[in-house]
Amino acid sequence: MSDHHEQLMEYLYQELSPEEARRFEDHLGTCEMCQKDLADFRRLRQALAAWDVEEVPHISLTIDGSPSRGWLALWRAFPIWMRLVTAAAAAMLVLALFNVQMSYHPQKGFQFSASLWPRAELPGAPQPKPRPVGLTEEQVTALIRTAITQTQRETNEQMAAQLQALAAKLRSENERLLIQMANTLRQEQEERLAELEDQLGQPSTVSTLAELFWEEPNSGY
Amino acid sequence: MEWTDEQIVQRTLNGEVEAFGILVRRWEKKVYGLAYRMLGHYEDARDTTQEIFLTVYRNLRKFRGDAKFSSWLYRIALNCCHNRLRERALQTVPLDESPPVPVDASAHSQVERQQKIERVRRALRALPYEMRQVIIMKEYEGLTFKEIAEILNIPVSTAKTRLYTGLDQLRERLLAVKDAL
Repeated sequence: MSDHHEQLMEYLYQELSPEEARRFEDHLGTCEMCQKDLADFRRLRQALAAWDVEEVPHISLTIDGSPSRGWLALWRAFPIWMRLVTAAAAAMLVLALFNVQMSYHPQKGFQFSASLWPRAELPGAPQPKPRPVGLTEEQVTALIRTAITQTQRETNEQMAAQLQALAAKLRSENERLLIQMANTLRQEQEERLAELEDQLGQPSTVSTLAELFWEEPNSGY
Repeated sequence: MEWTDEQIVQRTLNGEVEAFGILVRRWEKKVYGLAYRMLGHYEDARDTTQEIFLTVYRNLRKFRGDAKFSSWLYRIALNCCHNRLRERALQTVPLDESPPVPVDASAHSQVERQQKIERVRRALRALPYEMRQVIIMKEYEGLTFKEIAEILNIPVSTAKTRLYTGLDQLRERLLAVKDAL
């Protein structure tokens, strides 16, 4: 963005001093681009000016009291139970801030006292039992060690159980395969045996065992 | 003697609530004009104008007086407009709504004028938000570059640059339409 553009804007809206305006007009005489910009923008301004707001609607504001009344209106907008809860919470907060203590004595009735600083316990009031302060470093170490051992044992047990289950599954699968193979073999043997029995029942064309396996050298040739 | 804006603010803060009405009457046309041109929607502009003045009232104690009241008011107005535009983008409320056309708008010249305004309105709406707000503040609100820079919290030269770029883009959009200018 050149300085001339900024000056052009100021010239267009008449924000240049007379001296600055005169100098810019000198420039305008020699710069066709600025001349064109100026002419276009003047036409543009005429077009923009046509968009006027003819009628402003009535603006109504509901304002009651001072600006702080807004909080009051918000408070009034709360339902009654929410106001009670809020008020009780606020009261307890104030009481806590001022360390208010309440006590009851059969003869004296209720007694209240407040202080800016926390005070020592009332004499005769039941003292809370001291809580265990904490564990020693050795105790903490022992606890951590026990926890680690426990975790390792549990992990080992889980892994052993998984391995046993896997072995049982493999064993079962092997048995199933072996039984299947044995059955198939037995069936084949039975079939073969039946064939042999059939052959033995028919009149044999061979007289010796050797004839069963070797053909006559000249038979059929 | 006419009270200054700052004096009216002080009177309101001192408990004279009615004084705030003077500020509203004094600025409502300008604020409504800004809202209407920023939002391009008649009812949105009316509601937003009410919201702007309520926001101003509720935050009067925060006005420190180190800047002009008008600058503070415009800053709140632009924030409210920006929020409304964001809400509307989420709600997909129709963007286009012309103001109520007068009954006697049947005359040819009137119709032609309305058409020109509509073209200008659309061209302005199509501009990036930063340029549109500078053009509206300069052209319609008549603010100086220094005032615009103060309201937007930008250097004066940036305000001029945004205006030039905005007008340049507006020229391109409107010159593309025959007889738009």
